[in-house]
Amino acid sequence: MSEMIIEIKDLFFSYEENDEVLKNISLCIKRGSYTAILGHNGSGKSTLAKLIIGLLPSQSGEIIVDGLILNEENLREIRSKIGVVFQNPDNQFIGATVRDDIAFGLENRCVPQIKMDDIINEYAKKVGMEDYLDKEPTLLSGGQKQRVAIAGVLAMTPKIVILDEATSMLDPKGKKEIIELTRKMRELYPELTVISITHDVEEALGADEIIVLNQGEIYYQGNSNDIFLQEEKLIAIDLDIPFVYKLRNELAKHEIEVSNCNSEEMLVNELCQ
Amino acid sequence: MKNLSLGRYIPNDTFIHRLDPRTKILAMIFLLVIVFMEIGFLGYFILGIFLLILLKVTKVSFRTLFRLIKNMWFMFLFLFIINILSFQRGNVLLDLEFFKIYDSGIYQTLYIIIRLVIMITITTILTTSTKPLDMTYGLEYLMTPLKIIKFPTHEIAMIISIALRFIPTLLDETERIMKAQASRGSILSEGKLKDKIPAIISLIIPLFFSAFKRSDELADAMEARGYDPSAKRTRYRVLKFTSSDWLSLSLIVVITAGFVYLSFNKEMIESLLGIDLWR
Ligand SMILES: Nc1ncnc2c1ncn2[C@@H]1O[C@H](COP(=O)(O)OP(=O)(O)OP(=O)(O)O)[C@@H](O)[C@H]1O
Ligand SMILES: [Mg+2]
Repeated sequence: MSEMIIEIKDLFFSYEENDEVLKNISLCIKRGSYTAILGHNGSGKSTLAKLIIGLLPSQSGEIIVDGLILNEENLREIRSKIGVVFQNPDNQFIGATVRDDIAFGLENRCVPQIKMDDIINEYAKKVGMEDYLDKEPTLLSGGQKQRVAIAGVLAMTPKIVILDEATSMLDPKGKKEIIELTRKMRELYPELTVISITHDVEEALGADEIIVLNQGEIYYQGNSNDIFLQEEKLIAIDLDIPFVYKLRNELAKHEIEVSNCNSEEMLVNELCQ
Repeated sequence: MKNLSLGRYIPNDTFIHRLDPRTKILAMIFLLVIVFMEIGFLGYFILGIFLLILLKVTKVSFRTLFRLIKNMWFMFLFLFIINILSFQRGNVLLDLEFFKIYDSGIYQTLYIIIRLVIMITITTILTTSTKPLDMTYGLEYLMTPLKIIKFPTHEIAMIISIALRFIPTLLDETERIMKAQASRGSILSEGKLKDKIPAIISLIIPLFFSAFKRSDELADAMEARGYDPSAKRTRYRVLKFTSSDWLSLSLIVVITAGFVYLSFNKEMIESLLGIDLWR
């Protein structure tokens, strides 16, 4: 078993001829890691995610998921390893109620009907939606719908979870809830590989690895600490850096050295010492 | 937007609500067959009483039903006029020199109106007591024999259930677009039809755009979660036939048989009861 769960080699993709949306993408994602893919609107993040789960056919290059090369034959198996939470909470809620929505994925997996209720209850509880099982989507907030989506994905026991801007249509409260839930999810399932696609740099905080896409190309790939300390590099492509790092860079200018901290809390603690 | 409740599911916990949707759909078909048999006024009277009992059991208010029927008065009037003009047989009821009104025209109109009212009542009982989604499952099940001729029952049921799921979402969206356009000065509720057309277009186009986008995203989400219409899948919601379903179905079959007997033996029953049924 290779250490990498996703390997992409020389991937190109275009929706329309001569208009490449992804250019020469090569990347590796470690098993059990938390990776953030950062990039501007239209930089090709969603396209990349869709290629990885085979919703779009790649034109050249190779995608290997958990040791399997993505092709017609392996498609079903690869999809069963990956769960995706999309951006729009409404457009991925398929069931008539929370219960039915979590069941949808189980039905596709041919889980026996008698086992479904237990699974549904278990995962609804994990995302804190156990009191809403019989509610219809119109009665739920965006954040709650996204939590249901996460439950639906986790119930299928994937090896990889991709969050494609799962928080970008939510209000600040919903956003916080989902970020918190993502953290909890990683604690619950240490083997789970989580890929968070976002254009909000704050969400990329705490990622093991950061991949920055710019106009369909990989602009940066590496440790989150390294990139956030190079403010100009991100500013150059109109991305911001998280507040903590902004402060650290400012402090550094005044020759106040702070050690590795990547959350506001850690920084406050450090400074108060 | 919110007053679309006519003939819609009304949550309740009655005997009829608890019945399997397949039972209710089959019963409706039987009852509709009865409506189209020649059972005379006596037959309709008996059927009417049976339906009144069902209405009572389902707890549908007469107001709901009446509102549905009220909307059809114009059609009733139209039928009446057509029938009076076209039926020129039987006994003359009224002689107006230039044209005569015959009793057969009146009877004919009455029959049609009675049939329509009964049909509306039957479907109202079904739709108020059955969740649309359960109805879809029931229909899918009842249509399984059609799979032999490659009729895509599962796909159609999936389409209907997704449509049902998205109706409230799209209504909300319509309202939002209407408000957005109203704030730009395009108001739907004012003016003549001719003036309304631009407003309607400015509503429909964005609505369509967003609906297509939704369906794209929805298809992606379904596929990502492993949905494949041609593959085997299990079912979370399974329909269960209980003893009350068997009981109800038997009752309906007996009733239907009774009406069939009635329609074939009108003369005998007429002479037995000493009244003229077929009027
Ligand atoms: N179905 C499509 N047909 C044609 N072009 C498309 C299609 N989907 C996306 N594109 C184009 O491909 C490019 C990348 O789109 P993509 O959705 O991958 O970006 P993204 O990084 O996910 O952006 P966002 O932050 O807005 O989600 C964009 O320029 C977009 O216009
Ligand atoms: Mg995107």
